[in-house]
Amino acid sequence: MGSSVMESFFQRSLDDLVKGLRVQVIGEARYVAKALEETRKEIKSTDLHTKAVAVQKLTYLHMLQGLDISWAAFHVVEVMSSSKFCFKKIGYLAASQSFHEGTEVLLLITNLLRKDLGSKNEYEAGLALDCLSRIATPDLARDLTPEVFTMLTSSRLYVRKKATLVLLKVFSKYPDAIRIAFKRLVEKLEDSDTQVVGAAVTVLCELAISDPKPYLPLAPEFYRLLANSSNNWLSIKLVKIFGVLCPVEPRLARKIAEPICEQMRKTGAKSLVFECIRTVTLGLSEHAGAVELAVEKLKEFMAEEDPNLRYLGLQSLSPLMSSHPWALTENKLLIVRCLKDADPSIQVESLRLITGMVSEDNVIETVEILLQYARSSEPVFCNELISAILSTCSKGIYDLITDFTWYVQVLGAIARLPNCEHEAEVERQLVDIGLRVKSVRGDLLKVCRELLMDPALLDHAHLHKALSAAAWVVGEFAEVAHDPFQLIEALLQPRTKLLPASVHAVYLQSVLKIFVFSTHTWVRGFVSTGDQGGTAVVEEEFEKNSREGVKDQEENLSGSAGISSPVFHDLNPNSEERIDNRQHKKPMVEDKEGTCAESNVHLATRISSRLILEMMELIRVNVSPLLNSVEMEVQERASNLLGLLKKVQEILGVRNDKLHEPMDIHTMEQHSSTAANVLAGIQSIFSVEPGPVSLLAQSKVTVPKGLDLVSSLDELGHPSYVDDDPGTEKDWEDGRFFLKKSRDGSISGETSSLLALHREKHVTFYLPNQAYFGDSNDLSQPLQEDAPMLSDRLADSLMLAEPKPQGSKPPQAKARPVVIRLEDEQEPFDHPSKSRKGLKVDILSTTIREVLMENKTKSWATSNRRDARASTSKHHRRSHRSAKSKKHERNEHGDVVQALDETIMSRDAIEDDVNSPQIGKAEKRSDASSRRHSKHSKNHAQLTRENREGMRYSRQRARSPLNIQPEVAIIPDFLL
Amino acid sequence: MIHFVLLFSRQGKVRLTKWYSPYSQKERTKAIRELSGGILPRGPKLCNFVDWRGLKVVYKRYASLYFCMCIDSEDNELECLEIIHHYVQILDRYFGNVCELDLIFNFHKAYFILDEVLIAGELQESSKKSVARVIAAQDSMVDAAKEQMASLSNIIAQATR
Repeated sequence: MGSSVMESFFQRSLDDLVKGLRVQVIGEARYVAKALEETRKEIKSTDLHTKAVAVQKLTYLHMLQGLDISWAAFHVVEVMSSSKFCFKKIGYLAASQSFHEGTEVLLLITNLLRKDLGSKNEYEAGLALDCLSRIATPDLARDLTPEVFTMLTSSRLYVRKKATLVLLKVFSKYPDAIRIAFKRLVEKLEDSDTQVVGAAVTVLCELAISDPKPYLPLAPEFYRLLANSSNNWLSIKLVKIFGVLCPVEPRLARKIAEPICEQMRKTGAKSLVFECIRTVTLGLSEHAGAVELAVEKLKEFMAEEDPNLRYLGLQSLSPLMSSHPWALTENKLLIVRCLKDADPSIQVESLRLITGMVSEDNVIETVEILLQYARSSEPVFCNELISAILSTCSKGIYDLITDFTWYVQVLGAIARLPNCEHEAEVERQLVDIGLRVKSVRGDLLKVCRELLMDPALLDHAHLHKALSAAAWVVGEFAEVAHDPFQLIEALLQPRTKLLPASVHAVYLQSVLKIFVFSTHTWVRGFVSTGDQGGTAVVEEEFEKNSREGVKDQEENLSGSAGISSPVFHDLNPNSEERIDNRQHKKPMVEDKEGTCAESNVHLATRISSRLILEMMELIRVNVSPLLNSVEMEVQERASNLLGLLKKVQEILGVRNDKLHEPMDIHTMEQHSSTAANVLAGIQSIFSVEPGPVSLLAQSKVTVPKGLDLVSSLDELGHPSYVDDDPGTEKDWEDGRFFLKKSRDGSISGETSSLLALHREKHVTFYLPNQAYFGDSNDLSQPLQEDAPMLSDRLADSLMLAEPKPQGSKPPQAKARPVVIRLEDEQEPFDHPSKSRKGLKVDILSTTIREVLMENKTKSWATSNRRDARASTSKHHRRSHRSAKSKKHERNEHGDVVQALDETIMSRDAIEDDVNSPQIGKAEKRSDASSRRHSKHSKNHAQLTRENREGMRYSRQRARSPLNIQPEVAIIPDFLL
Repeated sequence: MIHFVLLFSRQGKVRLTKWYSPYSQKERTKAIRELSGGILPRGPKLCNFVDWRGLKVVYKRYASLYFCMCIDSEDNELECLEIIHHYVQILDRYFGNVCELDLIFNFHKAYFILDEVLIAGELQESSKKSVARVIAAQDSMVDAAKEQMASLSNIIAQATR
């Protein structure tokens, strides 16, 4: 390597830098840092060559590492302004790579760019155009628009072509440029060179994509180009333009369908065929012939080896999903085959199509296929499949499902899939179906039982949610269970300790429910076999007994070891609630009891006294250890359960140490009548059936008097109780509050009254009902008058009482089982319609619209040029005349004229927004060129002459009488 | 329109970047990282399209180089593949059996050629011949300028000696 002396003489070239980077041993980052240091020095050199090489090296490093080289911006400008082409090129490359809107030197290069744009050397002009297209800011675009405009008519093809495309960038940065340059852009459609025509079409295509409407008048021109085009690149753009124009103007679609089909048939280029297909699916879906041909081609695509074509084929089918379902069903085999494609994107596309095809008739078949694929797929796609199944089947309120027995089995199968990540949705649907579809509960229970029985499933964290739902279901719908003992066994299996506390708590609660249900059923078997009046007696007695029972419980159990008394404080309010529930919901309870009495009695014969005894023992043994659980929720449920169990055992005279003694069973049966009262009471707590709740349910509840829902909750503020003390809030936050108060020794009294104080202060936020806040003794009293009414109303609105025969098996009939649907329920899965991405800002499309309106007047019916020199008064006469002729015309081509009128009206509406002085200015500038243009548009004039006058234009004429040759631009007849 | 063009090697080394839409340096780095990370692991039998932030990225692998272009969702993927191929063919013709090293050592030429194929994110020249002609013309201008300078500097050097 050279010495330091040599280095100052010999700069490292770009090649040296790249080579060095490839063989460096000191680490890339260090090498780059070193090189950067070097170039920093070099770039300050006065020798332009050295500077240029330094800039070039910087550009390389910038690209390679994304280094910030804005510090060198000024040097870059220096190199750009060199008169030597080789340096200029390097400078421009660096500028277009590294400059952005925030680069300060942009302000300095306007003149430089202007000079280069006007350069005699076409390549220098090309460099400037390239650079402008990259770094244009609104200011640059504004200042350089005249130059670009001039270049559009350059005699050099190279410049003309580039300038045309750069317009796209200029328009987006400086929309006003459209007023000046748009007409010339349209002229470029008739350029002698196809590349320039292509460029103009490209620009118009991009503009039309963001807002197609204003470009409708150009349709005949595009049509002509398409018919004569021999260049596939150009044809693609033209077909694409028609794809966005057709949805806006259906009559155009009629005209264009045949040429597009022609393109599809004759071309061998897949890209063009694909563009045609897309245009057909987007804009020509009304034309059966075109759609058939497109589907034919899509079929070829999907059968191809090339995954690109398969992917695009599937993707293009989706717009046809709703309008032409046959296109999908016809290709179902091909689509399903793509589910096992190696390419995930193809899989996802085909899945989307398949779910789109699902109907009531094929849902079972389809879901089975999907499930089968889910078992053998990669985790990611497997979850896509699962989510598709779940969302498709639950769409609406399970609208597609007729066989719920099958569907709950599917849910069970999904929960067991090892890769399933949608357990929350499975959980929701298991519970939801249980609540909504009464007839399927038997089968639902079977599915849940299988899930609960399998000890292996407890290992998988992803299953816990589904298991929680299963446990809830078996507890809630225990009345349709065949083997409560097995259920309890499953719920208490040792591995349940692997469950998270929240799920474990559900398990224990379910054990409680099943236990109460079975003992109650068993007891009824003794007390009221065949005696229907039994329930009534039981209920009467219950009221008397329950309070005593509760007291008994308290006395007995507060003393017993392992169970702390707070549990019963906890129980007490519960029992109050239960009593209330029973009072208010009495009709329902009776109804339910009545309907399931038969099945219960049937079950009762199978629940032997020994079974009950064993069940109690099972619960006692398995739940007792849980009293020491660290999870409070589990511990509490366990104590509830055990407390109740002990109480029941006591009433029945069962003692734990004397298990299985025949005498025990005998005493049990003797005491059963006493137990019946208690058990019936407890059972009635659980027999109130929960129902699905609509998200809108709350809106049905009338707002209680005095409840203020309007005031902002912010006013509620911090729960500080002494607002006068400025330090309080801070103290509270710091936690110092408690320290301070405890020193005073007054804290306990203060804290207990905090809520009361708060309520006093912000009374509007509390319900006026005294019952909630009365002292604890009042709790035993029933709620105040209006409260039951409220809850009744609530119940009415929440539940749809549907008297339905309840059986353990779903009816075999073909009819769909009743699914509870709340009247105001909406489809939970909202599929937002895909909106086209707006390409440019609004301002751009408005400007285009404005300009096109002016432009149309010139480019379309320019035959009026002859009259242009006529005086204003003549114009008025003419407008009269043509108004008359229009009336006449209406009889001949009523259809066309009517459409024309619509166009005028819509344009009038737009016109009102237009800033008139601006128009006048633009008109003046482009007037000269429009005159030149007038000759060649005469042919159009021939066609459109009769249709061209509009009232709006007479108005505009009054504003700028000399410049404007107003005519209504229309789509000539031959296209419509 | 094409929002950007990316070339990177199989190892994820960037060989060329051209941004037609405004992206900040941070976004550029992120896009390169995301795309090279998303595209490189894709097997040869997969399709050449990747969805990326509501846009589509069309890529194609030539030997050890990946050519990527990011286009709008309503653009034609197959057309974009043809543009990529068009560019590669022109490179191939210019360098004569182009390889990665050619682009590494002549990165600026790769840019100059790209600038003759695309402008403002749109295809500007569909004829390979015209691109070749234009590039050749510019090269000769550069050479002429260099020669002139060389002789000038010679003169100066001689004069100062």
